[in-house]
Amino acid sequence: MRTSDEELMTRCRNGDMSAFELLVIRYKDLIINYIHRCICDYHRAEDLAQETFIRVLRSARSYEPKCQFKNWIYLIATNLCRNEVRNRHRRKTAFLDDLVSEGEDVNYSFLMRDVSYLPDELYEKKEQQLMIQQTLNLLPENQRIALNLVTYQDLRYDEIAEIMNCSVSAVKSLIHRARQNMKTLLLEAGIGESSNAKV
Amino acid sequence: MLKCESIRSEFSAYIDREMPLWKIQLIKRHLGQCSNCALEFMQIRQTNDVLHRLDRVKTSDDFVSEVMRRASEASASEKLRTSLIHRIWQKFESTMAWNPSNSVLKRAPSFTFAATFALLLILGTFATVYYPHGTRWFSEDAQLVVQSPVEDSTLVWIDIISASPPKRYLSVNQRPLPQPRSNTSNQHTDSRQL
Repeated sequence: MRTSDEELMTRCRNGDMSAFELLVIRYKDLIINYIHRCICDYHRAEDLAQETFIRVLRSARSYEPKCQFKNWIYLIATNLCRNEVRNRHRRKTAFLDDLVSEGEDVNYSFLMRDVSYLPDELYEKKEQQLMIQQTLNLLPENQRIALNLVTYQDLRYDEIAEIMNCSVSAVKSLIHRARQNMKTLLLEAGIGESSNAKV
Repeated sequence: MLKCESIRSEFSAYIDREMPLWKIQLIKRHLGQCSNCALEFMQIRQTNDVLHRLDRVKTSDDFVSEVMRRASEASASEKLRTSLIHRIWQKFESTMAWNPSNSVLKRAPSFTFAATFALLLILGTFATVYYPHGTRWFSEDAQLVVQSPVEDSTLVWIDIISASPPKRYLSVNQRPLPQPRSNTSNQHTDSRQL
């Protein structure tokens, strides 16, 4: 029988490091992908994912089992992403430059091992993914986070509302506006109906 | 027209299945009847499909070991931070059964504010009414004023403004002193050379 996250967290609060390790193994992929979608930098996403787990451990004492662990860890990760984006804006770091430079060596390197893609198709797919990610980054922060959580993390609206500290109707509105904006931006970028069949 | 607008605003929730069944049926029926809404819905769904084309990144192999290394470092520093004062504080919390996350301040901030205000009011009233001398808090019996600047070769003037004459003065000069004046504004003129 699978031990629940909340139970593991309670054990972790009592100093059981094996329970903490189990939580890290369960959530590492989800958290890294989530942060990576938010900040578009793989190496930094790994750092922030590590920081997320360390914060989970540090604030284990304040964790209340009635709160769902998944929402709680996403909340910590979201706060870290917001801080990262804010710091980048302060440092005036070019968001999309990072994407291009970082994306070359790490993000999609595993595609090279996929023999189902021919080189041209691989290149095209990579380019298209970069373009989609760039378009995603043009969205306002709240819309991007909400869309990220619903599209890539498969969270329900009420869970997103808890993570973003707003009402369910606000989340519904955010996601709707995000999809409307993405529709317009993708059509402008030339990714739409015509390219739909290619990948 | 109004119906179309309201239906379109529900498309995202419809895609995510975040609505009751009756609403899903309602939208399905409307999409079968209204071509404009059907086109709009198709575009939104295509956008969602495009977003799903992004691949997931893979975690590096040493991620877990790195997190555990940092976690052990963090827990070690946490133990160091748990000082004697912290333990005393924890003891106090457990003794008083006081939980900071559920304190009165958080539960009833207006009550806390009112209680603090009332306490200050009572203290202020006591301090005003029951002060033993009925005058100022500080004593006016003796005030020492050194006139500056003080130099080695020059005389030092010290004004002693006192209700009773200093004993030292009486021992050196055995003559009667002038009576202390009731008017405080003229006390500075009552200076003597030591």
